[in-house]
Amino acid sequence: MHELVEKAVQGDADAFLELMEKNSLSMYKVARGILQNDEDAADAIQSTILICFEKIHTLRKAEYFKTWMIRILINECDQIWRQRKKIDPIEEVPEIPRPDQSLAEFEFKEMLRLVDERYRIVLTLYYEQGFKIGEIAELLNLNENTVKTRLVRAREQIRLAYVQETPREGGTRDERRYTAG
Amino acid sequence: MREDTRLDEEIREVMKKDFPLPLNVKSAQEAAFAQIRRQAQESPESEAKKEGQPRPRRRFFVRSFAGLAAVAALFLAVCIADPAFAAQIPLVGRVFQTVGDSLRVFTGCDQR
Repeated sequence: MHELVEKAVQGDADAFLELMEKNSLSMYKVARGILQNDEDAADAIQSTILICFEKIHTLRKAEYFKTWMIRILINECDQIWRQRKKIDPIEEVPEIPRPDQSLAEFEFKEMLRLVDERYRIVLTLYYEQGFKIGEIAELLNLNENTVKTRLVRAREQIRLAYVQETPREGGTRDERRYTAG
Repeated sequence: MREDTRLDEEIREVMKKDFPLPLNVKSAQEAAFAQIRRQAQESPESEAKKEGQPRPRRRFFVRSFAGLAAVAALFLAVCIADPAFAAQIPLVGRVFQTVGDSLRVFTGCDQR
C-alpha cells in the first residue's frame, strides 16, 4: 500500500487506480454510513476518486493517505447530504435487499440501520476503518468525548437490538435474527 | 466487560467483512477510473513518461539555471553600484575598471 501511494503521488495513474480499487469497499462503507443509500454513496465515491487524483500530488506523507482520502470522502458526502436535504427532507425508507446481495452486505447494512443516524459514521470509522478516537474526532471536527459517547450509544443500541437475542445452543452466527423492526 | 469485548468483536466482524460493491457503486467507480485513464493519456506528464524523458532531471536543470542567473544578476548589480569594490575582484575587476574609466570619460566626470 505504502509503495502504491508513493507511486501515485509521483504521478503514476495505474498505481493510483490500483490504490483506489483496493480502497473502494472502505469508501463505500463510510459513504453508506453517512448517506444511507447506494445512489448517493456512488456519487460521493465517484467525485472522491476524481478529487483524490487531482490532489494526490499534495499528499506529503504516504502514511496519511487513508486519513486524507476519508476526509475528502466525508466532505463530499456532507455536500451531497446538504444538497439532498435542500431538495427534499430526508426520510429513511427501508431498502429492499437486492437478490444478488451477499449476506455480508446485508449484515453490514442491517447493523447500520440498528443505530441512530449520527452514530453510524463513528461506528464505521472505528470498527471498519480502525481509526482511533482522536483521529475520528479530528476527521469529524468533534470533541473526543463526543466521539466516545456516540460510540458507547451505538454499541448500546446494537446490544439491545442485536446481541440480546443470543444464538441458540449449537446455532451458528448466521442463524441469528435481527430483532430491530 | 467480557461481554463488551465479545460485542466489540461481533461488530468489528460484521463491519469489516468484505463483499462485492453494489452494481451502481461499481459503475460509478468505473466511470471515474475511465475519466482518469483519459486524463492520464492526454496529459503531457504521461507522454513524457511514455517517451522516457526524465522530467525531474529537466526540472533540476531549469532550477539550477534560474538560480545561477539570479546570483549573476545580483553580482552584476553590486559591481555596477560599487565599481571601486568591483575593481578589487580578480579577473572581473579589470573589466569593471575599464568600464568605469570609460564611463568617467564619457560623462565628463574626470577631475583632470
